[in-house]
Amino acid sequence: MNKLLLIFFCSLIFSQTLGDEVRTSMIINNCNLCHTDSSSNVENIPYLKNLEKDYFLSKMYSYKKEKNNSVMKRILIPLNELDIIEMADYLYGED
Amino acid sequence: MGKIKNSKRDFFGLLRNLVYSYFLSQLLLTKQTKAKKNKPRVVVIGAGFGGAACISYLSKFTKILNLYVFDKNSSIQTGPFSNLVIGDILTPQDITFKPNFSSNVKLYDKSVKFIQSEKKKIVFTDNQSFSYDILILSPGIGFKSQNIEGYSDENIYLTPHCWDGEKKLADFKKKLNDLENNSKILISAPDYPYRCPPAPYERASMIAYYLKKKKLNFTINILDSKDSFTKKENFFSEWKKNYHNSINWISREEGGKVLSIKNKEVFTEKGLKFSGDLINIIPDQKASNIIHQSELINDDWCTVNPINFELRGHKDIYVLGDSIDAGDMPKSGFSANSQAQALSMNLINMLLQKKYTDPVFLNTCYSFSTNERAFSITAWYRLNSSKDRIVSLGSKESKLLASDLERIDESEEAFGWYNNITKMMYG
Repeated sequence: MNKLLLIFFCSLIFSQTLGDEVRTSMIINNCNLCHTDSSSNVENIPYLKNLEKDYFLSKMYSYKKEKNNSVMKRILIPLNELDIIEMADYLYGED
Repeated sequence: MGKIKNSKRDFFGLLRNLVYSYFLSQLLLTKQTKAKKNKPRVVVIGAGFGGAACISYLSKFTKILNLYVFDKNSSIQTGPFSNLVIGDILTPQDITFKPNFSSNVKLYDKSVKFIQSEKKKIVFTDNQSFSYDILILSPGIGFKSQNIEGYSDENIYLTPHCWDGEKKLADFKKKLNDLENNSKILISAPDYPYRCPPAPYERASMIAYYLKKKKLNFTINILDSKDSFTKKENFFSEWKKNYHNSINWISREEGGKVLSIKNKEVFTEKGLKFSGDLINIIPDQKASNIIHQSELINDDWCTVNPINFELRGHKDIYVLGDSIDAGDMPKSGFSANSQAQALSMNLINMLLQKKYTDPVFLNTCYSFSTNERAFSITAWYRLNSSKDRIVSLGSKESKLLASDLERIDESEEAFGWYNNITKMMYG
């Protein structure tokens, strides 16, 4: 019974996220509206594929945790940790 | 004996398989050659933020399609960041781009008169025509100028609205530059829906920034057809901090909706009268004239299938950007970019006979209050459960009491976005 309640509770939380039903590639396409798919970017909005996978993950987690209200913090609100891992795998390959 | 029989059988089996394989490969080759010869002619009309992003995406697939682009201008002046030209932070050249699309894209500067959808043909103002298999329309916005009595583009008492990427910013700036001390400025903000919802208020900020830099006193009255607007609290906070009480907002409830103009006077819904040394009317809006002249819709806005952006009732015509009803998505350059990704991806899926991908969209919209202070609103969007409407997952704004450093950071991010996206689209 407790397990059922837990599954129900989790499904409620994750129903509000983006990544469960949509393709990660669509999310990345939207990220590229600022980060673009070209390596000649301005410094403060880097080309995602040029980053190291570990750096990408740590940066994304730090945005999720930070207390200020930066654009990146706000953009990441609907994305959960699984979405972020899937994005990292999509961009840099699975470990 | 049995072995010889088996060998014979194997030999004939192999021969039969070889013959089958040969015919099969010839059949496939013929099909592929035919497909190559019959690549669909995909035509994009409009090379603004929506059209250019489609071109950027689709130009990677010219093995399976022929890509043509028509825009009435040979160089594109962007709507985003045009208020910064009014504020004298950027020059018109900074926001004007000569598209440098990939060599497999054929670009023509031609003005469209109308589209004959039943004949799949585009007719230009010089009466030449061009046929298409698939048409992508990203034509921008149209105006309901008749909503305000006395309003016209030719009215000498008005400054140009500068809302459509036309190159009239120089006229606007000349009128702004001619203002003397203690001038009164009127800006009328349109009713929803319209292109770039925070832009009338950013324009007020940029006019204020310019006049303050010239050390002139001024009053800006924003006459609004609405009772609220996006990022209102952030704008109020920035106006108070940077321009004291020089910018006033008059809501519709307070009599802000403009009904008519006569010479230098503006009359509103509640019988109020305002006069201005600079009057900037931003008219109510509708889908681009190209769409209305082609009789593609009966309403103000295009209704599209939000999965692939096909125009309702018109097979093989796709519309994106400011001319569509995009559900919860605002009309912005960023939104048009995001829609272009989804449209293009699912167009390729269709051509490759793959299943459509359910799209997801993002919008981030920056507004400047000075040359180095900006704030933003951001939201993700997806389809509703019946997949016929784009719905917001909730928007988030910059915080109201942001530090100076945070405002500066956001202005740098805004410039970063603009520089990256224009480089990606126009080369």
